[in-house]
Amino acid sequence: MSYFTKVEILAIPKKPFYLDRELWREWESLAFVLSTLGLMPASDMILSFRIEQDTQTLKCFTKSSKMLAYEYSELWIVDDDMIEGLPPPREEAIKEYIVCDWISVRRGCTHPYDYIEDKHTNFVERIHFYPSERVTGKRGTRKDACAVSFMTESQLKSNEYSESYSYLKARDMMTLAGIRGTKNGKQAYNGKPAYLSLQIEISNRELFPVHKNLYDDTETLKFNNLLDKCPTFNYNRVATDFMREMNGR
Amino acid sequence: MEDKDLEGVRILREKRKSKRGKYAVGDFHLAGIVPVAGAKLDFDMPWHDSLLPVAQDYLAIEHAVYECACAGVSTIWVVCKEGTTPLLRHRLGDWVHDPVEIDRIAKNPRSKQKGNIRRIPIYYVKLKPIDFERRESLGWSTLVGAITSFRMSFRISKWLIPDKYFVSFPYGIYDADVLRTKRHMLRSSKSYVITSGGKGVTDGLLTAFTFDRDVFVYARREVRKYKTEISEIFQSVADDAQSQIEVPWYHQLDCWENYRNYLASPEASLIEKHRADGNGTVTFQKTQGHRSYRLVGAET
Repeated sequence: MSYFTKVEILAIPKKPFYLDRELWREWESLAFVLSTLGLMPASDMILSFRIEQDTQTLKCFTKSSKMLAYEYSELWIVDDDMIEGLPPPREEAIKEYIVCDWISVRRGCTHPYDYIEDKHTNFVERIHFYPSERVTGKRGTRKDACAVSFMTESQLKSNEYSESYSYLKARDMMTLAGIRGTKNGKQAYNGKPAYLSLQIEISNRELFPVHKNLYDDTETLKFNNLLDKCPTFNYNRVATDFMREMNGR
Repeated sequence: MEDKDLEGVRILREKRKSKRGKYAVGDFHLAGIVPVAGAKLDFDMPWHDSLLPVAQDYLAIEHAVYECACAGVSTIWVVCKEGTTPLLRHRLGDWVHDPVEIDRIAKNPRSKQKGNIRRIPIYYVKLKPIDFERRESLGWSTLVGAITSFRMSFRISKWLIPDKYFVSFPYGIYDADVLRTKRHMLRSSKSYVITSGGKGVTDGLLTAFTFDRDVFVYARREVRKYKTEISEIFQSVADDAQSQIEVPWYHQLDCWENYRNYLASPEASLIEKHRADGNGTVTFQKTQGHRSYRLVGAET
């Protein structure tokens, strides 16, 4: 839309879901084209926004702790995530999230699994394995992991659902699935090969809100549901589809 | 926006609240801070001044922790010197039960939540030796508790960072049950001050209050100007009429004279240790099982 209308996209802080590689590459190529045309000045460097409706100013805070201020006469908002200063929503969404804990597998990254799952709970319900990009060179057999959970707001802010517990459960699930570390000689008493234990690390946690607030347009703020109507870029549809098989939400 | 729409928003919010529970305790991290180190009182007892008895089998430090629990905090951070910690920990334990949940279940003994009452963890924070006799004050202890809770929570997960801090002093006593009905106010983004006769922490009373990140920055700035009085350090706390929670009575336990006045007052008979009715659950961990006192590093 920006390409045809020549309206600037200020920033897109949230990229598509990483594991959908086709969509990710499409997004990156589009972002590159828009950047070269000067239609995406802040790219993905923005952490949060603040709207000051009195002065009609939009303040953008970057990852390098800088502030960019823009004046606007009409502002189109596609996603209200990480934006302060919005009017109260017409319909406030329940705060539920799809939580992705990205895991760096240090030892035990070579195995045949695409995913393992635990259907008894929403916490670390499924662990997806994908070819690692941390390791340089053509080593497509080495896999990192992504532990996917479904959490409410109170669970997200609870110690029992933190990254540490996610790490423990993911390690337990992977061990039970038979994933082991590298070979380490032979066992002395029976001659079978010995293996080191699994070693993983949580690199970061990413959130995808499941529900969306609904707003009424004001004179200067227009809320666009374009992404909901578009067949490809539904609001978190990629992440939701990714989880659909798990719990049917 | 028209009034009709605003009414619709209000109804939706009420519905949402009722669906998730009235206070939605887990959605908001209110960190309770109990500053113990810093006060120089004239009791001259062999034990720490925060271990004064305020009722039968009930100490001042226990009342401060009970205040925090009544206010609906998610974690409690007791700031004290290293030598004081073992005795305090022996008395308080590692957690307290939520007294509001205990009483709610006591009214309904067949409740399924009986075995699942919320535990509030207690963490003990030591004051650094470099602060002794320099910045050592109740105000600085409060700031140390706040920054330690922030750092520790951030190390576990950035979603566990406290949204606000609730400060409760062991050297000021009032009816903590007042706070039970004010939980939804204390667990909001606005800051509140407990007042008695219109006076609060900014007037030098050791009553509870809540503060956020901005107040922390201003308070630390005051400490760096060599100020030690709690009223000077936390002068940026909002104490307008809208942010005051008035308590019916209050006694300050900062000297022997005031302590004697408190014990002689009729309000002293109103203070007692919280006990459950019938269902066997208690607030403090210490009364649940035998815990023996050991020095740090002593062999078991």
